Amino acid sequence: MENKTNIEKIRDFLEQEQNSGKPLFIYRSQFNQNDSSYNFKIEMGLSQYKGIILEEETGLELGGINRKSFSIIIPLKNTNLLDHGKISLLGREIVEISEPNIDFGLIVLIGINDIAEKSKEELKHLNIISNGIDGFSIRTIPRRFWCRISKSALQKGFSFEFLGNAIIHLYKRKFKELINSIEVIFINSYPSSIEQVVTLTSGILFKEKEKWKKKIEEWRKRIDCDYDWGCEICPYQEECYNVKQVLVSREEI
Amino acid sequence: MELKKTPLIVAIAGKGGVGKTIITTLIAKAISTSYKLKLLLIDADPTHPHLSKMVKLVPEKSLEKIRADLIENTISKKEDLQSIAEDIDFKVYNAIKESKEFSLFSIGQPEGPGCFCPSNALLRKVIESISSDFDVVLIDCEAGLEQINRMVIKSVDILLIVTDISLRSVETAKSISESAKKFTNYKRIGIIINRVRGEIPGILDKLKEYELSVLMLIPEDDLLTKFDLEGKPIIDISEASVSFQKIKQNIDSILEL
Repeated sequence: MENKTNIEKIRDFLEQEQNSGKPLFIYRSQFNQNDSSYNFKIEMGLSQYKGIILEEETGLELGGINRKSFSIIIPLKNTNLLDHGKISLLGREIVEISEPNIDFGLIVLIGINDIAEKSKEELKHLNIISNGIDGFSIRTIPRRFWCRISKSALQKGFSFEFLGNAIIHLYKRKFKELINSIEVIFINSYPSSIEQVVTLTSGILFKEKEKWKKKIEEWRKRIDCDYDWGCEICPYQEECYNVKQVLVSREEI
Repeated sequence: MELKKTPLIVAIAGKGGVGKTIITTLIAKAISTSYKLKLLLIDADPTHPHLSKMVKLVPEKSLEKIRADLIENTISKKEDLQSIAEDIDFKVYNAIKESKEFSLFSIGQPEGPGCFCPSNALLRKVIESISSDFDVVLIDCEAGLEQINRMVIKSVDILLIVTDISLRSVETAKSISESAKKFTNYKRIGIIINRVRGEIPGILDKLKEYELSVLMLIPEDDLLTKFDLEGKPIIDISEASVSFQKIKQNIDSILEL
Protein backbone atom coordinates (compact mmCIF):
# COMPACT_ATOMS: atom_id res chain seq x y z
CA MET A 1 0.00 0.00 0.00
CA GLU A 2 2.81 2.38 0.93
CA ASN A 3 4.54 1.87 -2.42
CA LYS A 4 1.32 2.52 -4.31
CA THR A 5 0.79 5.83 -2.58
CA ASN A 6 4.33 6.96 -3.25
CA ILE A 7 4.30 5.96 -6.92
CA GLU A 8 1.00 7.73 -7.44
CA LYS A 9 2.53 10.78 -5.81
CA ILE A 10 5.41 10.66 -8.30
CA ARG A 11 2.96 10.51 -11.22
CA ASP A 12 0.92 13.36 -9.76
CA PHE A 13 4.09 15.35 -9.33
CA LEU A 14 5.10 14.84 -12.97
CA GLU A 15 1.68 16.01 -14.09
CA GLN A 16 1.90 19.00 -11.79
CA GLU A 17 5.29 19.97 -13.22
CA GLN A 18 3.93 19.64 -16.73
CA ASN A 19 0.99 21.86 -15.84
CA SER A 20 3.43 24.45 -14.50
CA GLY A 21 5.03 24.65 -17.94
CA LYS A 22 7.88 22.16 -17.76
CA PRO A 23 8.19 19.84 -20.76
CA LEU A 24 7.06 16.26 -20.24
CA PHE A 25 7.75 13.79 -23.02
CA ILE A 26 6.04 10.40 -23.13
CA TYR A 27 7.47 7.61 -25.26
CA ARG A 28 6.51 4.00 -25.70
CA SER A 29 9.03 1.19 -25.85
CA GLN A 30 9.57 -0.06 -29.38
CA PHE A 31 10.34 -3.59 -28.31
CA ASN A 32 8.04 -6.48 -27.82
CA GLN A 33 9.20 -9.77 -26.35
CA ASN A 34 10.35 -11.38 -29.58
CA ASP A 35 11.45 -8.35 -31.51
CA SER A 36 15.17 -8.01 -31.99
CA SER A 37 15.08 -5.08 -34.39
CA TYR A 38 14.83 -1.48 -33.49
CA ASN A 39 15.17 1.90 -35.06
CA PHE A 40 18.14 3.34 -33.22
CA LYS A 41 21.66 3.48 -34.58
CA ILE A 42 23.38 2.84 -31.27
CA GLU A 43 24.51 -0.69 -30.54
CA MET A 44 23.53 -2.53 -27.41
CA GLY A 45 23.87 -5.99 -25.95
CA LEU A 46 24.18 -7.59 -22.51
CA SER A 47 27.71 -7.14 -21.11
CA GLN A 48 29.02 -6.16 -24.57
CA TYR A 49 30.02 -2.57 -23.92
CA LYS A 50 32.27 -2.38 -20.89
CA GLY A 51 34.69 0.09 -22.39
CA ILE A 52 35.74 3.08 -20.38
CA ILE A 53 34.72 6.49 -21.68
CA LEU A 54 37.59 8.85 -21.02
CA GLU A 55 37.03 12.47 -20.09
CA GLU A 56 38.17 13.68 -23.51
CA GLU A 57 35.70 11.31 -25.21
CA THR A 58 32.75 12.51 -23.15
CA GLY A 59 30.03 14.48 -24.85
CA LEU A 60 27.65 14.77 -21.91
CA GLU A 61 27.66 13.83 -18.23
CA LEU A 62 24.43 13.09 -16.43
CA GLY A 63 24.59 13.88 -12.70
CA GLY A 64 28.02 13.95 -11.11
CA ILE A 65 29.65 15.70 -8.19
CA ASN A 66 28.34 19.23 -8.62
CA ARG A 67 24.92 18.23 -9.88
CA LYS A 68 21.68 17.13 -8.26
CA SER A 69 21.03 13.51 -9.06
CA PHE A 70 19.36 10.33 -7.90
CA SER A 71 18.75 6.81 -9.11
CA ILE A 72 16.25 4.34 -7.80
CA ILE A 73 15.14 0.96 -9.08
CA ILE A 74 11.91 -0.29 -7.57
CA PRO A 75 10.84 -3.92 -7.93
CA LEU A 76 7.06 -4.25 -7.58
CA LYS A 77 4.89 -7.31 -7.16
CA ASN A 78 1.77 -5.35 -7.87
CA THR A 79 2.16 -4.77 -11.60
CA ASN A 80 -0.97 -2.65 -11.72
CA LEU A 81 1.14 0.13 -10.28
CA LEU A 82 3.18 0.55 -13.42
CA ASP A 83 2.57 1.22 -17.09
CA HIS A 84 4.59 -1.33 -19.03
CA GLY A 85 6.76 0.10 -21.76
CA LYS A 86 6.14 3.73 -20.81
CA ILE A 87 9.10 6.09 -20.83
CA SER A 88 8.58 9.54 -19.28
CA LEU A 89 11.00 12.42 -19.53
CA LEU A 90 10.50 15.55 -17.44
CA GLY A 91 12.99 18.01 -18.82
CA ARG A 92 14.89 18.40 -22.06
CA GLU A 93 15.76 15.91 -24.75
CA ILE A 94 19.45 15.58 -25.50
CA VAL A 95 19.33 17.60 -28.72
CA GLU A 96 18.30 20.62 -26.66
CA ILE A 97 21.17 20.29 -24.17
CA SER A 98 24.32 22.27 -24.80
CA GLU A 99 25.94 22.11 -21.35
CA PRO A 100 28.62 19.50 -20.67
CA ASN A 101 26.75 18.16 -17.64
CA ILE A 102 23.23 18.32 -16.25
CA ASP A 103 21.22 17.45 -13.17
CA PHE A 104 19.62 14.05 -13.63
CA GLY A 105 17.37 11.50 -11.96
CA LEU A 106 16.34 8.00 -12.95
CA ILE A 107 13.48 5.83 -11.72
CA VAL A 108 13.00 2.30 -13.04
CA LEU A 109 9.84 0.49 -11.96
CA ILE A 110 10.02 -3.25 -12.53
CA GLY A 111 7.08 -5.62 -12.24
CA ILE A 112 8.44 -8.87 -10.85
CA ASN A 113 7.15 -12.41 -10.64
CA ASP A 114 8.17 -14.57 -7.71
CA ILE A 115 11.91 -14.09 -7.59
CA ALA A 116 14.63 -14.85 -5.06
CA GLU A 117 16.00 -12.07 -2.87
CA LYS A 118 19.37 -12.42 -4.63
CA SER A 119 17.77 -11.76 -8.03
CA LYS A 120 15.90 -8.80 -6.57
CA GLU A 121 19.22 -7.33 -5.47
CA GLU A 122 20.72 -8.00 -8.88
CA LEU A 123 17.85 -6.03 -10.47
CA LYS A 124 19.11 -2.92 -8.71
CA HIS A 125 22.61 -3.01 -10.22
CA LEU A 126 23.05 -0.34 -12.84
CA ASN A 127 25.82 -2.42 -14.45
CA ILE A 128 23.18 -4.09 -16.62
CA ILE A 129 22.60 -0.70 -18.25
CA SER A 130 26.20 0.55 -18.06
CA ASN A 131 27.72 -2.52 -19.71
CA GLY A 132 24.99 -2.89 -22.28
CA ILE A 133 25.06 0.31 -24.34
CA ASP A 134 27.80 1.47 -26.66
CA GLY A 135 29.06 4.89 -25.59
CA PHE A 136 27.29 4.98 -22.25
CA SER A 137 28.99 4.32 -18.93
CA ILE A 138 27.66 4.67 -15.37
CA ARG A 139 29.76 5.19 -12.26
CA THR A 140 28.15 3.66 -9.19
CA ILE A 141 27.43 6.20 -6.48
CA PRO A 142 24.92 5.05 -3.84
CA ARG A 143 21.46 6.54 -4.53
CA ARG A 144 22.95 9.20 -6.79
CA PHE A 145 23.65 9.06 -10.52
CA TRP A 146 26.72 9.77 -12.59
CA CYS A 147 27.31 8.67 -16.13
CA ARG A 148 29.16 9.63 -19.28
CA ILE A 149 27.75 9.63 -22.78
CA SER A 150 30.41 9.60 -25.46
CA LYS A 151 30.62 12.16 -28.27
CA SER A 152 30.27 9.39 -30.83
CA ALA A 153 27.06 8.13 -29.20
CA LEU A 154 25.67 11.66 -29.30
CA GLN A 155 26.59 11.94 -32.96
CA LYS A 156 24.67 8.72 -33.62
CA GLY A 157 21.60 10.31 -32.10
CA PHE A 158 21.66 9.16 -28.47
CA SER A 159 18.48 10.40 -26.82
CA PHE A 160 16.53 9.76 -23.67
CA GLU A 161 13.94 8.01 -25.80
CA PHE A 162 16.67 5.61 -26.88
CA LEU A 163 17.98 5.23 -23.33
CA GLY A 164 14.54 4.34 -22.00
CA ASN A 165 14.12 1.76 -24.76
CA ALA A 166 17.58 0.36 -24.07
CA ILE A 167 16.89 -0.01 -20.35
CA ILE A 168 13.66 -1.89 -21.00
CA HIS A 169 15.27 -4.11 -23.61
CA LEU A 170 18.34 -4.96 -21.53
CA TYR A 171 16.35 -5.81 -18.43
CA LYS A 172 13.99 -8.04 -20.39
CA ARG A 173 16.92 -9.81 -22.04
CA LYS A 174 18.71 -10.30 -18.74
CA PHE A 175 15.86 -11.35 -16.50
CA LYS A 176 13.45 -12.86 -19.06
CA GLU A 177 10.45 -14.43 -17.36
CA LEU A 178 11.48 -13.21 -13.89
CA ILE A 179 10.10 -9.80 -14.75
CA ASN A 180 6.95 -8.97 -16.64
CA SER A 181 6.87 -5.19 -17.01
CA ILE A 182 9.11 -2.12 -16.86
CA GLU A 183 8.52 1.59 -16.77
CA VAL A 184 11.23 4.26 -16.89
CA ILE A 185 11.13 7.85 -15.67
CA PHE A 186 13.82 10.43 -16.34
CA ILE A 187 14.05 13.86 -14.79
CA ASN A 188 16.68 16.34 -15.87
CA SER A 189 17.56 20.02 -15.91
CA TYR A 190 15.41 21.08 -12.95
CA PRO A 191 17.27 20.68 -9.63
CA SER A 192 14.18 21.58 -7.60
CA SER A 193 12.18 18.84 -9.36
CA ILE A 194 14.92 16.35 -8.63
CA GLU A 195 14.97 17.36 -4.98
CA GLN A 196 11.24 16.90 -4.71
CA VAL A 197 11.35 13.47 -6.27
CA VAL A 198 14.14 12.50 -3.86
CA THR A 199 11.80 13.46 -1.01
CA LEU A 200 8.96 11.46 -2.55
CA THR A 201 11.10 8.37 -3.11
CA SER A 202 12.49 8.50 0.43
CA GLY A 203 9.17 7.06 1.53
CA ILE A 204 9.74 4.04 -0.71
CA LEU A 205 13.21 3.60 0.69
CA PHE A 206 12.02 3.96 4.28
CA LYS A 207 11.50 0.23 4.87
CA GLU A 208 14.96 -0.59 3.56
CA LYS A 209 16.48 2.10 5.76
CA GLU A 210 14.82 0.68 8.85
CA LYS A 211 16.42 -2.68 8.11
CA TRP A 212 19.80 -1.05 7.85
CA LYS A 213 19.55 1.27 10.84
CA LYS A 214 20.00 -1.52 13.36
CA LYS A 215 22.91 -2.96 11.38
CA ILE A 216 24.55 0.45 11.18
CA GLU A 217 24.23 1.00 14.95
CA GLU A 218 25.81 -2.34 15.80
CA TRP A 219 28.46 -1.88 13.23
CA ARG A 220 29.25 1.67 14.37
CA LYS A 221 30.17 0.30 17.80
CA ARG A 222 32.46 -2.30 16.27
CA ILE A 223 34.84 -0.15 14.24
CA ASP A 224 38.26 -1.38 15.29
CA CYS A 225 40.68 1.00 16.81
CA ASP A 226 44.44 0.88 16.40
CA TYR A 227 45.19 2.54 19.69
CA ASP A 228 45.42 1.01 23.17
CA TRP A 229 44.28 4.02 25.14
CA GLY A 230 40.64 4.56 25.98
CA CYS A 231 38.33 6.95 24.09
CA GLU A 232 38.13 9.32 27.06
CA ILE A 233 41.84 10.21 26.78
CA CYS A 234 42.19 9.82 23.01
CA PRO A 235 43.54 12.97 21.33
CA TYR A 236 41.65 12.01 18.15
CA GLN A 237 38.26 11.61 19.77
CA GLU A 238 36.61 14.50 17.93
CA GLU A 239 37.78 13.47 14.47
CA CYS A 240 36.92 9.86 15.23
CA TYR A 241 33.38 10.82 16.17
CA ASN A 242 32.98 13.14 13.16
CA VAL A 243 34.22 10.57 10.65
CA LYS A 244 31.96 7.92 12.17
CA GLN A 245 29.06 10.34 11.65
CA VAL A 246 30.05 10.73 7.99
CA LEU A 247 30.21 6.96 7.64
CA VAL A 248 26.75 6.53 9.12
CA SER A 249 25.30 9.39 7.04
CA ARG A 250 26.65 7.80 3.89
CA GLU A 251 25.03 4.50 4.72
CA GLU A 252 21.75 6.26 5.32
CA ILE A 253 21.77 8.11 2.00
CA MET B 1 35.69 -15.51 -20.29
CA GLU B 2 32.85 -16.04 -17.81
CA LEU B 3 33.81 -15.13 -14.26
CA LYS B 4 32.04 -17.00 -11.46
CA LYS B 5 31.77 -13.81 -9.49
CA THR B 6 32.15 -10.11 -10.17
CA PRO B 7 33.97 -8.22 -9.06
CA LEU B 8 36.69 -10.78 -8.64
CA ILE B 9 39.14 -9.40 -6.08
CA VAL B 10 42.72 -10.56 -6.56
CA ALA B 11 45.47 -9.46 -4.21
CA ILE B 12 49.11 -9.92 -5.14
CA ALA B 13 51.48 -10.01 -2.20
CA GLY B 14 55.01 -11.14 -1.46
CA LYS B 15 58.33 -10.26 0.11
CA GLY B 16 59.80 -6.99 -1.13
CA GLY B 17 61.86 -7.34 -4.28
CA VAL B 18 60.43 -10.62 -5.60
CA GLY B 19 58.75 -8.83 -8.52
CA LYS B 20 55.12 -8.69 -7.40
CA THR B 21 54.48 -5.29 -8.99
CA ILE B 22 55.92 -6.49 -12.28
CA ILE B 23 53.76 -9.62 -12.04
CA THR B 24 50.71 -7.45 -11.29
CA THR B 25 51.47 -5.37 -14.38
CA LEU B 26 51.85 -8.44 -16.57
CA ILE B 27 48.59 -9.91 -15.26
CA ALA B 28 46.86 -6.61 -16.04
CA LYS B 29 48.36 -6.65 -19.55
CA ALA B 30 47.29 -10.26 -20.08
CA ILE B 31 43.72 -9.56 -18.95
CA SER B 32 43.38 -6.42 -21.05
CA THR B 33 44.76 -8.08 -24.20
CA SER B 34 42.87 -11.37 -23.79
CA TYR B 35 39.45 -10.43 -22.50
CA LYS B 36 36.89 -7.66 -22.54
CA LEU B 37 36.83 -7.31 -18.77
CA LYS B 38 36.57 -4.10 -16.80
CA LEU B 39 39.73 -3.97 -14.75
CA LEU B 40 40.59 -1.84 -11.72
CA LEU B 41 44.13 -1.74 -10.38
CA ILE B 42 44.82 -0.62 -6.83
CA ASP B 43 48.35 0.43 -6.01
CA ALA B 44 48.31 -0.38 -2.32
CA ASP B 45 51.99 -0.19 -1.56
CA PRO B 46 52.32 3.02 0.46
CA THR B 47 56.10 3.17 0.54
CA HIS B 48 56.82 2.51 -3.12
CA PRO B 49 53.89 3.21 -5.44
CA HIS B 50 55.60 1.67 -8.46
CA LEU B 51 52.54 0.13 -10.08
CA SER B 52 51.25 3.49 -11.25
CA LYS B 53 54.49 4.16 -13.13
CA MET B 54 54.73 0.65 -14.53
CA VAL B 55 51.31 0.95 -16.16
CA LYS B 56 51.72 4.65 -17.04
CA LEU B 57 48.73 5.77 -15.00
CA VAL B 58 49.75 8.16 -12.25
CA PRO B 59 46.77 9.57 -10.34
CA GLU B 60 46.89 13.18 -9.25
CA LYS B 61 45.42 12.42 -5.86
CA SER B 62 45.92 9.42 -3.60
CA LEU B 63 43.43 7.88 -1.23
CA GLU B 64 45.56 8.99 1.70
CA LYS B 65 45.22 12.58 0.51
CA ILE B 66 41.46 12.18 0.31
CA ARG B 67 41.48 10.77 3.80
CA ALA B 68 43.56 13.65 5.13
CA ASP B 69 41.14 16.13 3.50
CA LEU B 70 38.17 14.24 4.95
CA ILE B 71 39.55 14.43 8.47
CA GLU B 72 40.49 18.07 8.10
CA ASN B 73 37.05 18.98 6.77
CA THR B 74 35.27 17.18 9.60
CA ILE B 75 37.34 18.96 12.23
CA SER B 76 37.42 22.41 10.65
CA LYS B 77 33.73 22.12 9.70
CA LYS B 78 34.42 23.68 6.30
CA GLU B 79 31.63 21.42 5.07
CA ASP B 80 28.75 19.95 7.02
CA LEU B 81 28.96 16.21 7.67
CA GLN B 82 25.99 15.40 5.45
CA SER B 83 27.65 17.10 2.44
CA ILE B 84 30.86 15.23 3.12
CA ALA B 85 28.94 11.96 3.24
CA GLU B 86 27.19 12.75 -0.04
CA ASP B 87 30.38 13.73 -1.85
CA ILE B 88 32.93 11.18 -0.63
CA ASP B 89 32.16 8.58 -3.31
CA PHE B 90 32.52 11.20 -6.03
CA LYS B 91 35.87 12.30 -4.63
CA VAL B 92 37.28 8.79 -4.53
CA TYR B 93 36.00 8.09 -8.04
CA ASN B 94 37.61 11.30 -9.27
CA ALA B 95 40.92 10.07 -7.87
CA ILE B 96 40.86 7.14 -10.29
CA LYS B 97 43.09 7.51 -13.32
CA GLU B 98 41.73 5.88 -16.44
CA SER B 99 42.95 4.52 -19.73
CA LYS B 100 41.03 2.51 -22.30
CA GLU B 101 42.58 -0.68 -20.91
CA PHE B 102 42.05 -0.24 -17.19
CA SER B 103 41.59 2.13 -14.29
CA LEU B 104 43.87 2.71 -11.32
CA PHE B 105 43.93 4.40 -8.00
CA SER B 106 46.74 4.72 -5.55
CA ILE B 107 46.56 4.39 -1.79
CA GLY B 108 49.56 6.63 -1.19
CA GLN B 109 51.45 7.38 1.98
CA PRO B 110 49.81 8.32 5.28
CA GLU B 111 50.00 12.05 5.81
CA GLY B 112 50.93 12.11 9.47
CA PRO B 113 49.48 10.80 12.73
CA GLY B 114 45.80 10.76 13.42
CA CYS B 115 42.71 8.67 13.73
CA PHE B 116 42.70 6.12 10.95
CA CYS B 117 40.15 3.56 11.84
CA PRO B 118 36.77 5.16 11.14
CA SER B 119 38.16 6.85 8.03
CA ASN B 120 39.59 3.51 6.89
CA ALA B 121 36.20 1.92 7.45
CA LEU B 122 34.53 4.70 5.46
CA LEU B 123 36.98 4.49 2.57
CA ARG B 124 36.73 0.73 2.51
CA LYS B 125 32.97 1.03 2.05
CA VAL B 126 33.48 3.51 -0.79
CA ILE B 127 36.06 1.28 -2.50
CA GLU B 128 33.76 -1.72 -2.23
CA SER B 129 31.00 0.31 -3.86
CA ILE B 130 33.27 1.52 -6.69
CA SER B 131 34.66 -1.99 -7.21
CA SER B 132 31.18 -3.19 -8.12
CA ASP B 133 31.60 -1.31 -11.44
CA PHE B 134 34.47 -3.61 -12.40
CA ASP B 135 34.85 -7.25 -13.32
CA VAL B 136 38.31 -7.74 -11.83
CA VAL B 137 40.15 -5.78 -9.14
CA LEU B 138 43.90 -6.38 -8.89
CA ILE B 139 45.53 -5.13 -5.71
CA ASP B 140 49.30 -4.74 -5.56
CA CYS B 141 49.98 -5.11 -1.84
CA GLU B 142 52.84 -4.50 0.48
CA ALA B 143 54.12 -7.64 2.19
CA GLY B 144 51.50 -7.62 4.91
CA LEU B 145 47.75 -7.88 4.34
CA GLU B 146 46.52 -5.97 7.37
CA GLN B 147 46.60 -2.70 5.51
CA ILE B 148 44.50 -4.16 2.69
CA ASN B 149 41.95 -5.54 5.05
CA ARG B 150 41.69 -2.32 7.02
CA MET B 151 41.76 0.24 4.31
CA VAL B 152 41.04 -1.25 0.97
CA ILE B 153 38.70 -4.15 0.87
CA LYS B 154 37.51 -6.63 3.43
CA SER B 155 37.20 -9.74 1.33
CA VAL B 156 39.75 -10.95 -1.15
CA ASP B 157 38.74 -13.79 -3.44
CA ILE B 158 42.14 -14.87 -4.70
CA LEU B 159 45.45 -14.27 -3.00
CA LEU B 160 48.49 -14.66 -5.22
CA ILE B 161 51.76 -14.76 -3.34
CA VAL B 162 54.87 -14.14 -5.37
CA THR B 163 58.16 -15.66 -4.35
CA ASP B 164 61.50 -15.94 -6.05
CA ILE B 165 63.89 -18.86 -5.64
CA SER B 166 65.06 -17.84 -2.16
CA LEU B 167 63.96 -19.62 0.97
CA ARG B 168 63.45 -16.26 2.65
CA SER B 169 60.75 -15.39 0.16
CA VAL B 170 59.11 -18.76 0.79
CA GLU B 171 59.14 -18.08 4.54
CA THR B 172 57.51 -14.73 3.87
CA ALA B 173 54.91 -16.47 1.72
CA LYS B 174 54.12 -18.76 4.63
CA SER B 175 53.63 -15.88 7.05
CA ILE B 176 51.51 -13.99 4.51
CA SER B 177 49.25 -17.00 4.08
CA GLU B 178 48.92 -17.35 7.87
CA SER B 179 48.09 -13.69 8.18
CA ALA B 180 45.59 -14.05 5.33
CA LYS B 181 43.76 -16.77 7.23
CA LYS B 182 43.25 -14.31 10.09
CA PHE B 183 42.43 -11.11 8.20
CA THR B 184 40.77 -12.04 4.93
CA ASN B 185 38.24 -14.63 3.89
CA TYR B 186 39.98 -15.57 0.66
CA LYS B 187 38.68 -18.43 -1.40
CA ARG B 188 41.95 -19.43 -3.00
CA ILE B 189 45.70 -18.97 -2.53
CA GLY B 190 48.24 -19.59 -5.25
CA ILE B 191 52.01 -19.24 -5.34
CA ILE B 192 53.79 -17.74 -8.32
CA ILE B 193 57.51 -18.45 -8.32
CA ASN B 194 59.35 -15.75 -10.22
CA ARG B 195 62.80 -15.62 -11.86
CA VAL B 196 63.21 -19.38 -11.96
CA ARG B 197 66.59 -20.74 -13.13
CA GLY B 198 67.19 -24.44 -13.38
CA GLU B 199 65.63 -27.02 -11.03
CA ILE B 200 64.35 -25.83 -7.68
CA PRO B 201 63.42 -28.96 -5.72
CA GLY B 202 64.27 -27.37 -2.36
CA ILE B 203 61.83 -24.51 -2.92
CA LEU B 204 59.06 -26.76 -4.22
CA ASP B 205 59.48 -29.16 -1.30
CA LYS B 206 59.27 -26.31 1.18
CA LEU B 207 56.13 -24.95 -0.40
CA LYS B 208 54.62 -28.43 -0.32
CA GLU B 209 55.54 -28.74 3.35
CA TYR B 210 53.73 -25.45 4.01
CA GLU B 211 50.74 -26.68 2.00
CA LEU B 212 51.02 -23.82 -0.44
CA SER B 213 49.91 -24.71 -3.93
CA VAL B 214 52.11 -23.55 -6.81
CA LEU B 215 50.24 -21.92 -9.69
CA MET B 216 53.12 -21.31 -12.04
CA LEU B 217 56.84 -20.96 -12.45
CA ILE B 218 57.99 -17.88 -14.33
CA PRO B 219 61.43 -18.25 -15.88
CA GLU B 220 64.23 -15.73 -15.67
CA ASP B 221 63.45 -13.18 -18.36
CA ASP B 222 66.35 -11.21 -19.88
CA LEU B 223 64.02 -9.05 -21.93
CA LEU B 224 62.07 -8.04 -18.84
CA THR B 225 65.22 -7.44 -16.80
CA LYS B 226 66.62 -5.15 -19.50
CA PHE B 227 63.33 -3.29 -19.75
CA ASP B 228 63.20 -2.78 -16.02
CA LEU B 229 66.85 -1.69 -15.81
CA GLU B 230 66.16 0.93 -18.46
CA GLY B 231 63.27 2.24 -16.36
CA LYS B 232 60.71 1.64 -19.08
CA PRO B 233 57.07 1.08 -18.13
CA ILE B 234 56.56 -2.69 -17.96
CA ILE B 235 53.13 -2.41 -19.56
CA ASP B 236 54.89 -1.62 -22.84
CA ILE B 237 56.90 -4.84 -22.86
CA SER B 238 56.72 -6.91 -26.01
CA GLU B 239 54.47 -9.97 -26.02
CA ALA B 240 57.65 -11.93 -26.81
CA SER B 241 58.63 -11.65 -23.14
CA VAL B 242 58.70 -15.17 -21.67
CA SER B 243 57.24 -13.89 -18.39
CA PHE B 244 54.34 -12.30 -20.18
CA GLN B 245 53.74 -15.39 -22.30
CA LYS B 246 53.70 -17.62 -19.24
CA ILE B 247 51.16 -15.42 -17.49
CA LYS B 248 49.02 -15.07 -20.58
CA GLN B 249 48.94 -18.86 -21.07
CA ASN B 250 47.83 -19.27 -17.47
CA ILE B 251 45.49 -16.34 -17.10
CA ASP B 252 42.41 -18.56 -16.90
CA SER B 253 43.83 -20.51 -14.00
CA ILE B 254 44.90 -17.27 -12.30
CA LEU B 255 41.35 -15.94 -12.38
CA GLU B 256 39.68 -19.23 -11.57
CA LEU B 257 37.77 -19.27 -8.32
